[in-house]
Amino acid sequence: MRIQPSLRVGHNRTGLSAASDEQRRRMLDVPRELGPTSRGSSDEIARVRIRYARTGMSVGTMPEVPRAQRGLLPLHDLLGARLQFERTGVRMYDALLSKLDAHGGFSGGPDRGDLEQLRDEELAHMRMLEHMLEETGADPTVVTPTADLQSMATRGVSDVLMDPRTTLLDGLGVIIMAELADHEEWIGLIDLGRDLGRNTLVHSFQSAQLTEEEHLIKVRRWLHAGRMAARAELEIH
Amino acid sequence: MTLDLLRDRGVPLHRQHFTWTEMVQPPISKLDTDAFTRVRVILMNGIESEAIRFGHAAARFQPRFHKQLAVVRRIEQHQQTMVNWLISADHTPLDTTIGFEQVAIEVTASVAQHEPDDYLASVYRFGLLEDFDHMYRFSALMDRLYGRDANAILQSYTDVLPGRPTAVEHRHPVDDLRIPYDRDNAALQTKLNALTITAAEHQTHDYYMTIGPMFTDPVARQLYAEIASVEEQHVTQYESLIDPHESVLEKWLLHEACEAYNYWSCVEYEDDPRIRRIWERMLDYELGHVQFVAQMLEEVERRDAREVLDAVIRDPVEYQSQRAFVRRVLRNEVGLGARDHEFVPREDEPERTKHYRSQLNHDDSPSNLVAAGYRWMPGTELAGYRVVRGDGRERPHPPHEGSWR
Repeated sequence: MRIQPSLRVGHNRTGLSAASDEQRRRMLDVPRELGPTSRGSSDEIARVRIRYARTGMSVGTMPEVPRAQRGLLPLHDLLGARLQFERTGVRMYDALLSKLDAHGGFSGGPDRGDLEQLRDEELAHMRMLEHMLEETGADPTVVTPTADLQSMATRGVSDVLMDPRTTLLDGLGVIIMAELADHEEWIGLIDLGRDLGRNTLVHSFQSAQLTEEEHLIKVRRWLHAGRMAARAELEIH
Repeated sequence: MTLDLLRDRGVPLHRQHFTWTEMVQPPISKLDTDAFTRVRVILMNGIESEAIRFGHAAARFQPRFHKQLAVVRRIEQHQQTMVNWLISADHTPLDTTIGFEQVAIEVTASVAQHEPDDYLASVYRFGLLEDFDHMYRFSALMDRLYGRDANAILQSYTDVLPGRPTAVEHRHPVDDLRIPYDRDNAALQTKLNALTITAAEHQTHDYYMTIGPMFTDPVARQLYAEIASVEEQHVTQYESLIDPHESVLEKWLLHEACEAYNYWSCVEYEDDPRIRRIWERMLDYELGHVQFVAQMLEEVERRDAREVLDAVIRDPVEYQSQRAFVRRVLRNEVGLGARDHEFVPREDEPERTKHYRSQLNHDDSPSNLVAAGYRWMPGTELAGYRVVRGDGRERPHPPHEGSWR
């Protein structure tokens, strides 16, 4: 099994059903006196979260800008976030390419050129965003607060893609999460550009959003083909 | 300002208390906090960690001090928690790694320049160039795996350049041992320096050993394995600088003095008022520990603690960029290796070290792999890629072919 080698019967021990009858019975048969030692529910966690949240701390702020440019802060924050996301996106496709090179593709799936094209389009977006930030008076090396949060959110996607135990199909299954988020964020930028009356920027955002829409369509198609091929492989074996 | 470790009495042990909320305070901001505040947080976590490590080791040899060690250790545990929990969770393990290496570069460079003993100063300069190289390798990893720029952590205080290449840092264990200072003749500053750097390196080693397996990428896992091994060498090196003939109580007193000295240095440089209040409180606690152990030394060994803490401290650790010093050391000493206790041109290293190194690097050299052709650029090396339009596609082109040093 090449496409999804994990999709076979093995020795998964995580479920209750994997335990012996005796162990399972003992897990479920807990004497009444061994109950919780404190009252309440998971709401207690919310109480503490709220208390900490009300201290007013944030992950960070934007760098100093002239007063006349303050209105551009939301734009710079989101452009910075897109820029970081696209940089990471280039490295994500690098990792996905290694999976293709390691095990080959599947019928209806991407070839090397397909994945290189997506990677290079992320790179082109990255360059476009660098220029936009510079032209609007911002520093493209700044990690903006939204960039920081989106980096946190995408850590898991990168982890799965770089794990040599995962396949091309597994990789497509997580990179679509990144592509979905990316597409959504470009729509957000289009809306913001319109609100700010920045028509030139809006045109560029729309062009990037259309490219990301194509990415989504392609990745969805490859995922579908991959899952079909994996099922077929399962039947053969 | 100066620090007189025995005159400033601090807070007595019975008044040193914490609550969980105090220990878990709002963290520093990865984006806004000055990098040197993070450097101080990371270093002080290492200093506290060493205090606990020492306390446990001492207890295994000295049953008569079990109770006293247990009481002080528990306070150190809660001090360490309060300090280490200041690191915010948006610091990835790799972000914090960059912070650890910044500590190893900037703090070691400061210590090397304030070390009164020429031989020990040369040891600090030797280790410094190795941690400097680790920074470069980890920065390449961050760039090439995640498309992220290490300078967002370094805040332009520290260079991202190759140092003594990590691949040639691997040495036979006996070539990592150095000559200890002499407890009777060494300056107090020398003893505090050795303890400080040993603590920092030990914590770095332990951190890499903990987080290395959390990476999925095989090159990342290999790189952490390789650099953790060098950090073990560094602990071996710096630990061997400490006179093993000091009594346990003398060592304990010096540990407490080292903690107080380092918190005092933090107070001297800290601009963030909230964090400064933490350093001031911890300094007072450590001065209380110094009093407690000084009294034990006087009662048990019938020695005046002033024999050990025999000087007023005038030089705090300098928390500022040491770029000029580091570059000078890099130019003059990058080609050194070690033979027994001495530093020699790398070609004169003993056969045992050459054999050990070639055996370890036989299959792969992770540190060379990860940074093949790597040059740091603002906004990651991708910022230097040209986008070339041809046959309807845009292809990245590296700006130049790199070469390994």
